[in-house]
Amino acid sequence: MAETTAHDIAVEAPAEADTGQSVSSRLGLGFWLSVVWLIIVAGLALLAPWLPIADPNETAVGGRLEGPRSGLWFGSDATGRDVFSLTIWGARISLLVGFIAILVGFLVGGTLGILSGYFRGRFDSIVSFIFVTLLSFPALILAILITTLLGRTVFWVALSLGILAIAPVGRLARAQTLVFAERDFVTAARVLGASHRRIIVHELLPNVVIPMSALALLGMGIAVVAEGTLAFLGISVEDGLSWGKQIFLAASRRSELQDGPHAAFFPIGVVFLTVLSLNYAGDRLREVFDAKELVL
Amino acid sequence: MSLLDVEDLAVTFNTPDGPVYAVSNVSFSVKKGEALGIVGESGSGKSVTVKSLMGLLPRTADITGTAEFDGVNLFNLPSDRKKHFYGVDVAMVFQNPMTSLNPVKRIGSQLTEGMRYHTGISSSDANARAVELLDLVRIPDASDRLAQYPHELSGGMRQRVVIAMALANDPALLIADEPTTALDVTVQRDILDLLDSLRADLDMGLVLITHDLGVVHDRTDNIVVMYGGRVMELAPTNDVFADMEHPYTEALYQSIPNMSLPRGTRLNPIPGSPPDLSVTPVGCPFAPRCTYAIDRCSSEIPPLFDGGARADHYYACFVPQGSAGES
Amino acid sequence: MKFLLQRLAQMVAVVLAVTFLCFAALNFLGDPLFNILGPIADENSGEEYAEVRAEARAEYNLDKPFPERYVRWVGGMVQGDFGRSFKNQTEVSTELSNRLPVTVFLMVYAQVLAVVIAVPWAVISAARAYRTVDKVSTVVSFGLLGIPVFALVVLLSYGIQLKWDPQWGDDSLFPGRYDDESLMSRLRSLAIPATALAIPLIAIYQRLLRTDLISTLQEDFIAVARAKGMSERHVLFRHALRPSLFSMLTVFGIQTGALIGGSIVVEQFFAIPGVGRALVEAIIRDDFPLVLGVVVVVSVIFVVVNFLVDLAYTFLDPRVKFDG
Repeated sequence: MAETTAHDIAVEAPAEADTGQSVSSRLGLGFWLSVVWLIIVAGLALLAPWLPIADPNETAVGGRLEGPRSGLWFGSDATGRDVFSLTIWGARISLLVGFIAILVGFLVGGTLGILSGYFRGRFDSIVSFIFVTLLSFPALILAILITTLLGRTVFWVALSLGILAIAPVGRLARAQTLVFAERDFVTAARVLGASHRRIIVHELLPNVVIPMSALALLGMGIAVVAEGTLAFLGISVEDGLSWGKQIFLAASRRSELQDGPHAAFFPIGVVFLTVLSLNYAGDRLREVFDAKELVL
Repeated sequence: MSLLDVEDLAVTFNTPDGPVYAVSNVSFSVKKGEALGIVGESGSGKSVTVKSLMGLLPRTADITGTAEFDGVNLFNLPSDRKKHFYGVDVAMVFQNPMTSLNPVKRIGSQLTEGMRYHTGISSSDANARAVELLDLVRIPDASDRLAQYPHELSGGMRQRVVIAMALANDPALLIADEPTTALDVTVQRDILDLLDSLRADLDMGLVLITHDLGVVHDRTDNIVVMYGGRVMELAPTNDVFADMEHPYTEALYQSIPNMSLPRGTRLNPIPGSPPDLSVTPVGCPFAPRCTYAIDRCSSEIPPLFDGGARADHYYACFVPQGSAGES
Repeated sequence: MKFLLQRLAQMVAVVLAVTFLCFAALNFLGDPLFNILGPIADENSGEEYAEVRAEARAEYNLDKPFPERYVRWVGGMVQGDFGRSFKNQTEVSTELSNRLPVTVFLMVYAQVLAVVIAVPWAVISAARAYRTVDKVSTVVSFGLLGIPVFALVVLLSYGIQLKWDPQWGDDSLFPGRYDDESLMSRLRSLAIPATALAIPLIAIYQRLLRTDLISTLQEDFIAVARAKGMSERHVLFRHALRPSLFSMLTVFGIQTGALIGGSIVVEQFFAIPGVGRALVEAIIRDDFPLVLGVVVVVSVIFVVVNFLVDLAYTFLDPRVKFDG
C-alpha cells in the first residue's frame, strides 16, 4: 500500500495541474502562436499567384545577392531572384507535399489500423507484419526507391512520403482502436445489433481520430523535412523550387554562401519556424488529449 | 544523554497551489540503545518528519526547528560532515523492499558501495564485511547472495538486505520507515524481531515508524502519536497503553485488529478523513473527527500538556480521556 | 532463448519482405531489363549491345517466372553478388565494400558524439529538474529538433568553414575534404558532418533521457542511495542512469534509420565518398543495380541494428531474460 504524503504532492506539483480550464487555455499561448504562424505561411502559399510579389523565376529583380531592403524583404539570390517570393512559392510545394503525404498516411494507415484493431485475428497479424516491414526500411531510403522508380512529380513524391506515414499512423490507430473496442459504448452498440460498419464509423472513428490529430501535425513536420531533404539532394519534385532545393541552390557554391548567406538563411528560418510550430502544436495537442482521455 | 533531539520541527511544502503544512511543532528525543515509535495514519506527517532528518525532502520543503544529533544540528550540517553523516552515523530502512533496491545492481555492490565510499576499505574487505552483515540479518548462504540481483530474492529477504545495507557502517541511529507494511504478515514479525534484537545487540537508537500501534507495543521505549502533521501524544510506551489521554490515540487503538478481543467484536474505524494540510490550521486537526470535541477544539490549537498519570506523558488535547481527564 | 529465436525469425522474415519489395519494384515498375541495364536495354540502341542484353537476360533469369527469379536473386546476394553497376560495369559489391566503411564510420562517429553530449546534458537537466538550467535546456533541445539536417549542414558550413575559419582548406583544424590518411585525419575531416548528424540526435536523446531520469529519481532505491550518504553524482550516474536508458536505447535503434537519411545529405554536401553519395549519384544516372544494392544493404543493416538493440536490453536490465 503506497502512502501518499505531502512529499508526493510537492514533488508532483510542477506537472501542470488540470484544474478544469478550457481546452484552449490549456493548450497555451505557444500553441496559438504556432497555429498563427502556420496559418500565415499556408495562407501566403495558397494565395501566392495573387500576391503582389515578383515572379519567383524572374531574374535580376534585385542585384546579385543583394541584401534585404524594403520591397525586397529577404534580399535576392545569385541570379537576382526575389528570395521572399521564392520562399512563398517554395512553401506551396513543401506544404502541399507534406499535406498529401499525411492525408495518404491517415487514409491508408488509419483504415488498416482501425480495421485490424477491430477485427483482430488473421487480418490483424498480416497488417501488423506489413507495418513492421514498412518500419524496417530506413525512412528516406524507401521514399528514394519509390520516387526513383515512379517519377518525381508532386503526386509521386507525396505518395512515397505518405507510404512512410502508413505504419506509424496505422500502429497508433490500431492501439487506439484496441482501447476503445473494449469500452462499454462499443459493446452496447454491438449488443443492440449495430453493423460493423456502423460501429466503426459512428463509435470508433471519432474516438480514434481526435487523439491522432496530434500525430497529423507531428507527421506533417516530418514530411516537410523529408521532402526538403529529397529536394536538397536534387531528387524531389522536378519542376519548381521547394524549400529544400532553394536552400541547396543558395548554399551549394561556397563563394555565394559567403557573399550572400541571407539567400539560404531566410528560407532556413522559415523552415525552422514551420517545423517548430508543427512540432510544438502537435506536442501540446498530444499532452492535452492524453489528459483528456483519462476523463472519458 | 540523548542521541537525537528534535525540537519544534516544522516542514512546509511550497507548491504552486500554496503552502502545505505537512509537519508542525514536532519535538521528541531518542537515547542510545532506545527505541522510539512514531505512529500515525497516512498523511500524519511521520514519513515527512524522518525524511527531513535524512535530508531527503525536495527543494520545495521549508524546514524550521532543530534536530540535534550528538550536539550538532542536522539542518545546518556543513556539507563535508553531511557526506560522512548519512549512511555512517544515521541510516534508514525504507517501507517497500521491492523498490528499495536498485534492480540493475548486484546485492554485493549495493551492500559494499556505502562502506567503500565512506571508509575507503578494499573491495575484498568490503565483501567480507558484506557477508558478515548478511549473516547478521540471518540470510542463509550469505556468500552466494552477493552475486545475485534483487529480483532473485523474496520480499522478506530483500528487506533483510536493506537492513544489512543500513548497518554497513555501524550507525548509532537507525530509522525504519514502515519496514513491514509491504511484507506478508508472516514475515512482518520476523523483521520486527530482527530490528529489535539488532538494536539491543548493537546498542543503537531506533526510530520505528508505523501506522500500527500493535507493532510498537512491546518493541519501543517511547511513542509519538502524530496526526495532521502534529504530535497528539508523546509518552513512554507503557504509559500510553496503560493510560491513553488523546482521543485520537484511543481511536487508533480501537481501529486495529486485536486478537485478545472476543470473536465477533466489530472494529471501529475512525470516521471521516484526514485533514487538508493546505489549509492554515486554526484548531486541533482531529477535532472534526473527534467524538469528544468541544467548541474550543476547533478554534484553538491545543498545546502539549504534561499531565498524565506520570511525568513525561504529553498530550495535545483539551479533553483528555485518560487519568488526566478524570482529575 | 525462445524470445531470441522468435526475434531472429522475425528479423529474417522482415529482411525477406524488404528484399522482396525491392525486387518487385525493380521488376514491375517499368521494364526490368531497362532497370538492369539502363538505356542500352532498348532493342534499337544498337547491335553491339545485343550480346549484353542477352547476357543480362540470362543472368537475371528474365525468361524464368518471377518467384524463381526472386529466389535466385536473393541467393546471389547472399553470396555477395549484387549485379553490376552501369558505371563502367563495375561490381556493385565492390562499390559497396569501398563505400560502406566510410558511411558506417560517419554514423558511429555521430552516434558517439550524440551520446557523449546528450547523456551528461540530460543528467544535469534531470538533477535540476524544473529549475532554470532545465527550463532553458528544454527550450534549446526542442528548438534543435526543428532544424533539419540539410539546414544544419548549411549553417555549420557557413559558421565554421566560412566565418570562423575563413582560410579554410585542407590544413584547417576541420579540413573540408574527406581524408582517410589516419584515424585522426578522418576524425577531423568528418567532425563537421558528424556534428550536423549528431545535433538532432542529441536533442532527441536529451529529451527522452531527461524524462526517464526524472521518473527514476522518484524511485525508492534512489532515496535509499541518498540515505546511504552517497554523493549526488554517484546517485545520478551509478544508480539512476542505467535503469533510465531503456527509451533512449529503443530510439537509438529507430534513429539509425533517420541517421541513414541524414548521412546521405551530409555525404552529398561535404563530398564524402560513402554509400549515401553513391546512392544519390546512382539515382541521378538511373543506375538501378547500384540503387537496389545500397537499399538492400542499408535496410539489412538497419534491421540488424534494431535486433542488436533488443539484445542490449539484457545488459541493461538483469530482469529481462530471453526465455519468454
